[in-house]
Amino acid sequence: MLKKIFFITITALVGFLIFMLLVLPATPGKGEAVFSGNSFAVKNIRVFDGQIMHENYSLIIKGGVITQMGEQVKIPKGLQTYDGAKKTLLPGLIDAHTHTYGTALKDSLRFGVTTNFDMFTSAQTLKDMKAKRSGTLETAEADLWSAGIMATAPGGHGTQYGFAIETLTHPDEANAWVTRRLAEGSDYIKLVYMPGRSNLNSLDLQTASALIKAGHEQGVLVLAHISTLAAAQDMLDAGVDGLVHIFTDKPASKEFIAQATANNVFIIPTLAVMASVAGENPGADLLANELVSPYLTPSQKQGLATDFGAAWPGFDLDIALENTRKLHAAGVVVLAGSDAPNPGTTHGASLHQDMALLVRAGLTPLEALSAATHAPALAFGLKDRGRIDVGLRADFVIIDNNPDEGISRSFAIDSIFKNGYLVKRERQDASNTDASPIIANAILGHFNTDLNPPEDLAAQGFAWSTTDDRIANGKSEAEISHINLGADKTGGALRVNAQVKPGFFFPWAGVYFGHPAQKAHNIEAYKTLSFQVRGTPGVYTAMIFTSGSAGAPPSQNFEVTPDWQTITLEMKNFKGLNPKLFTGLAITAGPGQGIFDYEIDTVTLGK
Amino acid sequence: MKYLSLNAFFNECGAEILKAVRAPEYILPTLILPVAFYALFTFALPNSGANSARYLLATYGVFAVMGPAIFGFGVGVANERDRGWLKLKRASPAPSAAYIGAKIMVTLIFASLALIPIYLLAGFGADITMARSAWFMLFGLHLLSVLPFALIGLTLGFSFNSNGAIAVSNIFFLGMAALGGLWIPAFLFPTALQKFATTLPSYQLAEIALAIVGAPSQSGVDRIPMQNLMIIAIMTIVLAGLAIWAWSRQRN
Repeated sequence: MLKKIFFITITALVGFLIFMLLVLPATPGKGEAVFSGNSFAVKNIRVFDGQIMHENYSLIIKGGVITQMGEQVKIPKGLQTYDGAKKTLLPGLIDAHTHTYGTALKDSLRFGVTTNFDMFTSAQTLKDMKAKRSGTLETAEADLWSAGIMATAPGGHGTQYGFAIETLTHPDEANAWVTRRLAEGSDYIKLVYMPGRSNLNSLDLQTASALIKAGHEQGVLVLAHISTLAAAQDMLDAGVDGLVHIFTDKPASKEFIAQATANNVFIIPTLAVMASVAGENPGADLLANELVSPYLTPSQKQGLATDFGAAWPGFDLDIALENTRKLHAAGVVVLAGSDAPNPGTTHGASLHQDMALLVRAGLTPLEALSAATHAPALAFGLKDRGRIDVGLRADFVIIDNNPDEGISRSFAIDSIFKNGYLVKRERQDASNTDASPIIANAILGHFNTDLNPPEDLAAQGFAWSTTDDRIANGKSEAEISHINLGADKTGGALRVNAQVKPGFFFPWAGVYFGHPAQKAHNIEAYKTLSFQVRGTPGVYTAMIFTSGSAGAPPSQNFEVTPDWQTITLEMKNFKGLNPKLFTGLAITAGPGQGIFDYEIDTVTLGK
Repeated sequence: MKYLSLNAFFNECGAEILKAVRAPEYILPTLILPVAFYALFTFALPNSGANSARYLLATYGVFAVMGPAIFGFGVGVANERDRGWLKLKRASPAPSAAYIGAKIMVTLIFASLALIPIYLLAGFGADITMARSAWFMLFGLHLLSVLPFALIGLTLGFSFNSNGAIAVSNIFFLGMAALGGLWIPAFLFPTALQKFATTLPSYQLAEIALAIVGAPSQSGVDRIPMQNLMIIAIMTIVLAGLAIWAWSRQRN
């Protein structure tokens, strides 16, 4: 009886289990029909494997990994197949110098950049990047490697972004500093070595050298940010693994080149950002490029439209190009890196531009492609990417023609695959910007009796409220209230009590005029923004927000005095502003820290 | 003799099944809880797309077999020991291997019953598609996950009386599930806790399961599933030693 119970149970169960496992939805194996997921074949395609070009290759990808490749690959019947005639397949591009925030990783992938090497971001960003990059799941983002926060001196480059980073002043601190970075998830160490600058402090040579030693003892690469030949030479002597910029003050000396070659260091010249610093407006070229522009988000366009302002003293792009050429010619490994999202650059698109600049410096198109694929993977010890070969991750870009005939062909992206999944590359210009309602009332706030905007604007949904960087995990705080005595002793005014504290890149606290649902409105008709203001003396910031943008909004600074004065800001000086997509504006204290109490009256748009 | 012991084994199996059918309140919660959790985290919470359904299938599958394994052995054996049933067994001609063997067999049955609704939900509810071989491998791994947990349960059952065993089993069950990253991925833990997680069999089994479904590793670094397999094999051997030790100790 008991025996029977057992036999019946076990037979029924095992039967059901086998049945279940056979009917569960399965991705097709050999000979079955397919058309989705991350298993497929590519035939008749030109393949750049990271070093050499191969004609008429075929590949088989299974579960996001390349399993077969060559001229004689037999494609199983029924396997979904991509016909690559007249197209070129490149390894997924690697940008070896970026800074990650907002939609950086999405923007990168949309331009075929499947891996980013970040050179400074908040430790928060590192949280789940390692888990994500080890798998082969479908994703809309590039994979990330990062230095985390960088090593710098108090008051040095890297501390000006308002959020507190752990600085060092003494060699004895180096070892523990590196240990803490690695515990936070940093993949390598980046230090800033800019001695002898009047406006910025720097690590001293002993501390920088101790960091390099500590990084090596703890098994990671140590990279240095430098801006001069002398500093670069110091870092070479200290045993650095790589430089994250080329120096632009002087031509590379013979001794430097010889030592760089002997030490086997790599250099990320970041010519894209160098061109922007030099005032070449590389961003404008991308904005005008038909192959690029439709895929740029409003916030990317805004970033590309901005520049570094005044020309930098002692900066010469020709020296940067010449140094890159010489070092490359001597056999030093050169890696492509954009330094996005600095002014004039953006994630993804600017790496293509960086490759073009490497070609301008004297690399061949294939060498430039290698500098954005195989070379960075090799330099950073990544074995699963950077090349097209059996066993590697199926990250690749297919472009419409042959980049060997001109590096600018890399912009002609046909399709992008990440982890073997086809990336849905959506145009970003689809939204009809002409349809947004117009703001007809030029007075945004007079505060005569309360904080409400004039009636018609209030009816459209606009309101005055506080804004501070707590929405970006900062620590600044603002409060607003209505006071009875306004400017010119008439009506009322809006009072702001703001405390700007470190905690975010660009800390702010102040007052916001805007639409709670972020609905876009058109302010194209207006040429200026004016308001009356008095309060704690200092530099304040006006920002304008637009729909669909992320990252730093277009802004202008102005000075406040204890006496009432009228500030008038030209719309055209809000660099990168799309006036058809206005969602709000802010008048804030910051980025300088402290307590700011100020009053605002009569905020108007002028024609 | 061989026939006899096999016969005893089948009879013991039947008796265990009958026991569960007659007193379902012991076993039902361990069958329902995992699938309820899986449904909650996969469907009820926002931002839970196909990727998370796949990830959670790997980890909740391990969670599903932990209940029957730890409780079936921990509480079951302690109960029977308290009532003097084990002493009687020892006096009877039925070999003790049949007793343990039947318990393992029945635990495998209940583990399968706990896994079935999760797999059905994953495949037909969350539309997860995997290679046929991956479905089989994953199920095989989940079923084999019974072993280390059953050995833990057995050790507890031999070491505590029935009241104590319930409490301690719960601690082990919940602790290993939560800290092994079965509910929330271990990479979201503080660093010290992440290190601790790697010492748990639940974590190691989840890593292998994640590798089978192609989901990201919890450790972040390059994963080596063979290494996880070796570690779990060693853990199982150690746990077996511990169970034998606990057994011999309670006999004397």
